[in-house]
Amino acid sequence: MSIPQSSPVTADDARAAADTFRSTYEVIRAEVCRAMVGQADVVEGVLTAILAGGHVLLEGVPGLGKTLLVATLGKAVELDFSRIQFTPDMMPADIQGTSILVETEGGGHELQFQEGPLISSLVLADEINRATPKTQSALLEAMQERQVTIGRRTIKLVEPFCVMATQNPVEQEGTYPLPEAQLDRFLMKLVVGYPQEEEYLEILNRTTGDAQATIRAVSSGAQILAMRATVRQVPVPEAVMTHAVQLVMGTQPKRKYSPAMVNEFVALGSSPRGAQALILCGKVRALLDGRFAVSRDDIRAAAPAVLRHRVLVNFHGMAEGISPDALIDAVLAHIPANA
Amino acid sequence: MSAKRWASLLAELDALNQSAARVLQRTRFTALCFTAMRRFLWTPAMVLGGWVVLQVLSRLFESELLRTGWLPWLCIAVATLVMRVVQQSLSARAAKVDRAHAIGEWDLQLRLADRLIAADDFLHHQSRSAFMEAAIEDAAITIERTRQAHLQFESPRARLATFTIPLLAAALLLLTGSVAGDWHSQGITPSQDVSVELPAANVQVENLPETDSPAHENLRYESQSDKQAPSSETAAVAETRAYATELEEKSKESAGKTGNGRSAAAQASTGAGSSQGTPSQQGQISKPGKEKTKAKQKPAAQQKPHKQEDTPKKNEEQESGATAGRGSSRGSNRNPASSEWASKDHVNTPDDDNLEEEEEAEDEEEEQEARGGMQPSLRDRRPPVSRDLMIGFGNQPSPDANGRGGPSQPKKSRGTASLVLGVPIPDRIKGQPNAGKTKITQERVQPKSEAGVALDAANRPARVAPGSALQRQELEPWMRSLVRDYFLAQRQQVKKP
Repeated sequence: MSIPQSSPVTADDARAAADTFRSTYEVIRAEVCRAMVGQADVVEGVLTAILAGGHVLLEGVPGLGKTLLVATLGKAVELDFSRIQFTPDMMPADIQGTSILVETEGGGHELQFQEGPLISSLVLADEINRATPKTQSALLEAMQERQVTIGRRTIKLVEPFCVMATQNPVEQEGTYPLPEAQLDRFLMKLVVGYPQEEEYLEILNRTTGDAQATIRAVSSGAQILAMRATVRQVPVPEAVMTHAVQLVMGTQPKRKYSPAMVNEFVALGSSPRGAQALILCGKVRALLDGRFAVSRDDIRAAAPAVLRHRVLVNFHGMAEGISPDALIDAVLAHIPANA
Repeated sequence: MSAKRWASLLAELDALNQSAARVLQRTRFTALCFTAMRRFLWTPAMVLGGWVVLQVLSRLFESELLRTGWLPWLCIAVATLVMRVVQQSLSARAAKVDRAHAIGEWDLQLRLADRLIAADDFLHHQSRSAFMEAAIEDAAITIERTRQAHLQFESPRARLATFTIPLLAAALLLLTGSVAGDWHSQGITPSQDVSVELPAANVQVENLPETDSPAHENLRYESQSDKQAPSSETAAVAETRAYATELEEKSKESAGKTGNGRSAAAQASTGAGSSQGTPSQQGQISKPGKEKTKAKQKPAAQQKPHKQEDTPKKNEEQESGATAGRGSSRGSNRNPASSEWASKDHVNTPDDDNLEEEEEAEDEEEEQEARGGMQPSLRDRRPPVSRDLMIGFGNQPSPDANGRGGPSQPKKSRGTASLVLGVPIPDRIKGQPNAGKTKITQERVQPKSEAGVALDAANRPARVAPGSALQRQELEPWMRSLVRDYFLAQRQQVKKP
């Protein structure tokens, strides 16, 4: 599979890059789906996030295949994969790394830096909300700056770098809600639901027999980087950008575009990172749809996954049982596509 | 794609923009007009409703100030609605349709995924990337679909019809009913024009004593129901009416005893109000005669609306026993006892007095004839003496006292006033119920220096008050020694065994 090394010059080059993007995407998705049954939206969301250069937060009750999905993806794209099982007694040094005392050849001792599991390309932060906020915050710099600073040492992370975190619903025992600053760093929050009835049968066939699906590496980190570059080249019309901004402002209470439901039940709306995420996800969707520019439909389709973890429901909304998804639906209904 | 092709594509996009903008502008204008009508339809409804309420209030309270015609209110209602709609339409015309919005409408309706918007945006860029050119070429293919398509918008008329027709119908029904009621109360048919008829009536009024024409009857009726007259009449009509009323009152005064004016009044009974006569009143007539019947029909016709209006007052009198002494079923209420006591709380308008006097004069004649002869005229009796029990203010005599009754002067030997003490007892104290005003007097005083007494620290006694919230009282020395001795004794007792 060819890897485009430079930016396309002509429209034909752009079409070729878009075709390559689509075909690579389809190959990765097919390989992941060999291990993962169902959850097509979740698989598409995870791939979209990794191609857009963002991080993903997967939320769902245990046993729905969240960890399997991320592990399978790590194998399919042949990325340096590491897994962190978050526990309540975990410390930041357990993730980032620390200096340990090592015996030298001459019998002496010296301090050597031991990298933590965060120094990797594809990081699976399993059950991230089981660790304390102090440990969760160790991911902040890595997720935004793509680097880790320990003492006076700064380590640049290797691209593509992607954190895929899973979390149980915060209502469960022994969980700590993620800080807003960290939630905002996730490009998407995907809710993993229960599989359908026919998918249950397929899951049982695949997992209870002696045949185990072997996942091949169908892509590489370099290809992922090339696909990310293609995504960045997709142009966005001004009207579409305006629409994304309106949607983000619509989640902020007491703003021009916010509906009454948001004004009443939202404590904190989306940040500008939400608009950036909308555009990036829209670009991926446009390429997958065979278009060369982002449309407002792409923005609106990505809005629930992109904005749901950026909208903080206030106490009144919690008491009323208002979910972030309902608020985003209200925003989408309040701001029509051709406003 | 060549530059020529792009230029033609831009021209096509311009055409699409213009056509969509035209349709959008028209749709927005229509929608705004209908929205304005829907939003502000309550304004004329409120105006018309306000007029109806005023009419009802004016009839209840007999206030001329509240009684106005329906035409100005209708004009205000319609003008308010029209102004609102014009204002909205002007603002709709002032707002231009955005180009992206217009082209985006094509994208939305034809499901082109914003390809036209993207192409239109990228065509205006100075430098285009490869993806932009690809997007423009993509749009050039899809623009073919717009040539056979037409924009469709939801018509706001249907929504307006379902929402506003009941409201409009109710307002029109209300207006029609009110106007019909107004005409009916004036005794004219809708085809008659009041402003045209009244000058003719003016001419007839001048010949009132000699001729009894139907026009005069109408005029008389209008003068009696003067309070029901619409305010939309011109000033000349109002003057005519006032003049007619004055003439009629003069004619009534002249006909008070001679019966000269009775014929005119009898003629008036053939008017619109004659149909309101009650049979019971006719049955009370002992000597029916042609002339007398006519004379009796007049008060029946005139009293009917007046009696309806005075119903609360009469009920009040009946409840207080003020109807005692009335000879017949329609006896006079000139009973001195009742009239004078009731006069304290009742204020009569001059019109009421005139009508009552006329009515009572005829009642007395009837009663006298019914008793078989002339009786002492009760009308000639002077009003009774003041039986006001008000003592006065403080030691001052009552200003209403006339020396024949009341407590402030030598009391009468009979009557209720004789039971009242002759010594004025003030039952009302001058002043105010509260503590009254506080008077503050300020004076300028030169400050004087006073010698401060410094406390000696050694002389201070030990602290007695608790040092904190916890109550811990310091023991006096003698108590301390007592407690010490007690515990020492306790310890010795423990040691002994």
